[in-house]
Amino acid sequence: MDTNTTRRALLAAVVGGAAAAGSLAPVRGYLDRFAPFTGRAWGDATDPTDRRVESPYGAADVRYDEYGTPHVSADRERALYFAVGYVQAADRLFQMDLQRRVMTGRLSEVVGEATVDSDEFHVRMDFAGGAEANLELLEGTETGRAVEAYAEGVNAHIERESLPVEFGLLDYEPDPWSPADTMLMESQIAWSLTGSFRTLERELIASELGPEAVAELYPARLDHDAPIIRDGTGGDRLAGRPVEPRGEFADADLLRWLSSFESPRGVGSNSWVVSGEFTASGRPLVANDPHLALSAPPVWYEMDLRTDDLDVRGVTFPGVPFVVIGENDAGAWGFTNSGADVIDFYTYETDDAGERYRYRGEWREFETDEQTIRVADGPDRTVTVRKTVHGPVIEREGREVGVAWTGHTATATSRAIRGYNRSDGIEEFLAATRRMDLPTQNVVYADREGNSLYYVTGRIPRRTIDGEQVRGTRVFDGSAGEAEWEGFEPFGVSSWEGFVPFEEKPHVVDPDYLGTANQRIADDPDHYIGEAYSSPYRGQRLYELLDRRAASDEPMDAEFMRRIQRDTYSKRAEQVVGDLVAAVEGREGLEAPVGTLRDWDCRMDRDSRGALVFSRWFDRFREEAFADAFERAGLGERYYPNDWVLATLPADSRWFGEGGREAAMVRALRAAVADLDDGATYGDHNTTAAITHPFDQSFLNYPAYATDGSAYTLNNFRAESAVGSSWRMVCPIARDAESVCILPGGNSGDYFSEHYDDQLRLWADGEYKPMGRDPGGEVDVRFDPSEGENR
Amino acid sequence: MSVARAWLTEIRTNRRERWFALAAAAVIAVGAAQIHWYGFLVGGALVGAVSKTLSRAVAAGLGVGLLSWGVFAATVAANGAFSQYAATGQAFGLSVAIPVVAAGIGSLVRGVV
Repeated sequence: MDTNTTRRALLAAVVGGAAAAGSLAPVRGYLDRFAPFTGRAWGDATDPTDRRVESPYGAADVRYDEYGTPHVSADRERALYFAVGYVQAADRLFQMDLQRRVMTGRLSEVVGEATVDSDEFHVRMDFAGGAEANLELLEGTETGRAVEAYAEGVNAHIERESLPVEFGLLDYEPDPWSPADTMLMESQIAWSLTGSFRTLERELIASELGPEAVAELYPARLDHDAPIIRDGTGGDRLAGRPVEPRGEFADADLLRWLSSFESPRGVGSNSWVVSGEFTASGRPLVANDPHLALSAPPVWYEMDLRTDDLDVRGVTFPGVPFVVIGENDAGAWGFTNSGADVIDFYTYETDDAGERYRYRGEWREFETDEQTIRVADGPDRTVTVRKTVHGPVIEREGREVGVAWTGHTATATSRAIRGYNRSDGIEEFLAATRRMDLPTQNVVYADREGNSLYYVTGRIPRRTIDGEQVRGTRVFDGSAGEAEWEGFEPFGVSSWEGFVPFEEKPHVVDPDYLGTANQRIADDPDHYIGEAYSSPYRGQRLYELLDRRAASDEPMDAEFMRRIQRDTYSKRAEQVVGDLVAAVEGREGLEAPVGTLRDWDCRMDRDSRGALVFSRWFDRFREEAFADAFERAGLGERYYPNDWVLATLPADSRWFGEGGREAAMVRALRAAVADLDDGATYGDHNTTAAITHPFDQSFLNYPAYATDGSAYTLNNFRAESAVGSSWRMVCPIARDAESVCILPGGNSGDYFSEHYDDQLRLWADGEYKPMGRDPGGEVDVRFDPSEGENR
Repeated sequence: MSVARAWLTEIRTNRRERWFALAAAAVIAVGAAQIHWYGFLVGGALVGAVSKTLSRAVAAGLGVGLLSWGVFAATVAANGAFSQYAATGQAFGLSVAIPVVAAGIGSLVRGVV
């Protein structure tokens, strides 16, 4: 063989080998995803949304404004929702699919081993079963038909358009969207607002630290005077007999596992309504900023919808066709979490085989179902889902507990939200509120006739033991049928007769002004509502600002509402900083931080050194008080009591250790300043870098902008947990006044869109944009009636 | 000598025809790459095959790879997404490397035919 032949053979082998290697994993995977033109990661980068789309439901037009908010108009409602499905998928398809996978326990199918725990939890909880029950209740209703049209719109987008970059990176394609998936989104929202294992945590703390510690550190009521409804007696009566944790259900491993799946700590919100009597326009004002987990893209999606008999704008959760928070041509509304207790836990006597449980004197078979969790690049798992008369049973580490949650039964929430969108004033809004079974929220509303309203939404269970109402604050004996909810049918349709009647839930019609910030609802409610109220700092500050302005000669206006939402004054700091300065004054080596704190105005502003020193000091102060004792008991930081409890502990409390509170304050400050860089300010740490995409790709995360606010200020942002104002909205109900709003990011989840993060800087700087009026001009996407239309 | 080889030889030795063939091969490469990433390999092979020498073939292959990427980048830019695309880090790097490397390898065909 000559040299030339050898060279040819070698080159042929290189070319042929390269061609063959391209068809083999993992090379092929990279080529399929990242090759120019055909790589699945680049579809959205090169392929703009089609400008003409056929719709089986009839004509609709979509115009996008300068912030990427779709303004959708149609002659008929179902044509409108088909178009809404299409545009939501264009902007948020991956987010929708991800949430659907989380809730159905199908995340590992595309992510792999890392999410098997999450899938197991969601499969055992059978959220999908609850969603199916919801759908049955919707069947044959106009709301059900709207949801079907929406799902078809999503699927039309999946079939016609390129997929977002995340699908390319993960190398999979989404399944078709179904109406049950929209119900799942509602379950997900409801779970993130009301899903709490607080009762189990109290049981564990009682077991490890004793019932006295529970009573001291986790009081049923925080001692403050700023409940939402302020005309109470201020007395100590608590609805429902106290039932204390017995410490009999205590499993740290189980709780550690469960804690990953409950609503994030710090989820809360602000809202307020002001009657026309106190405003410059003579019309009411509504403001709302829900504090939810912040992510890229945001949890909310803004849209403006219009038909001949519908005119509504605001935000929804991707996957849901209706506006959840916003305004229509008659009024405006907003939500905050009410903290109601709508979840209970039960233990059972079971037989040796674990196949039956004792219930009211007889043995019953667990309802069981074998489910397979598919795992990418790993062995699949089989999970046996078990249920009792109360709901699903969670099992882990050899322990099991039954769960009853109002989200596991059919709810009419979709009909309520659609009713809000179409309401023509307070009467229809109230009628829709009656239908809202879940989640339990504080809703504020005002209409253009000058009416206003506050109501607690959602079904609130009443528990009785021996005929007496009790609170849901311990694990109940499921075998004895103790404290169970009358009229509750898990995974079916409930009759609700044992729940708090609508008329007896806390509410106020036409308040002068009313502020909600997740604080206690009322001093003296007729029924036990819950105990998971936030520390009252934001509620106190909100009422302080509203009271002060109401007492002045200056009427309230939209600019004042915006100032309240941007307010950074910390009542937590006001509560303790004086004592802190007194405690550390004159201590050697602490002259500089003492001076900083003494001169500080208690505002959590980005350019403030005092805000940084204080926030770091409080973290250390909390550790000084609780770290040792809790660590000895095997309890982590998540079990620490809230900061109001810490701030109000007596100076000689045992929790402060040697030297009492003053010594603990000094030790905490020394530890805090040791970690601080010279010249650093609060904004060096309090940045939007905390707001990340769920996918581990840095380019998908948002840029880092310094911002203001903390967990305890009305301007709400907590960088340590990426929770904060997920939507700010101010609605002056006056006819010519413009509502304003802002999202922490952008309206599009399409990474290649100019609207991926175009609102982030405005949000970080406390600025607003106009809220959703159709900009007019050229149609961006036109939906033409397809053959066979008129469904 | 076969007809194909005679044709190739003529193209390779005739400057005007060679440039025309290179241009046609580049267009085919970009077009084929719209359908499948093998288009980069095929495009590289085509420009390589009509090149005068192996070293020129490799240069032409790399060039057609860069040209393909340039067309892609221009498409992304026309969609207003170039800065986002450039910020994707490793994914961006791979998207540059794939056409260049694939077309470069394809051009080695010049040493075979």
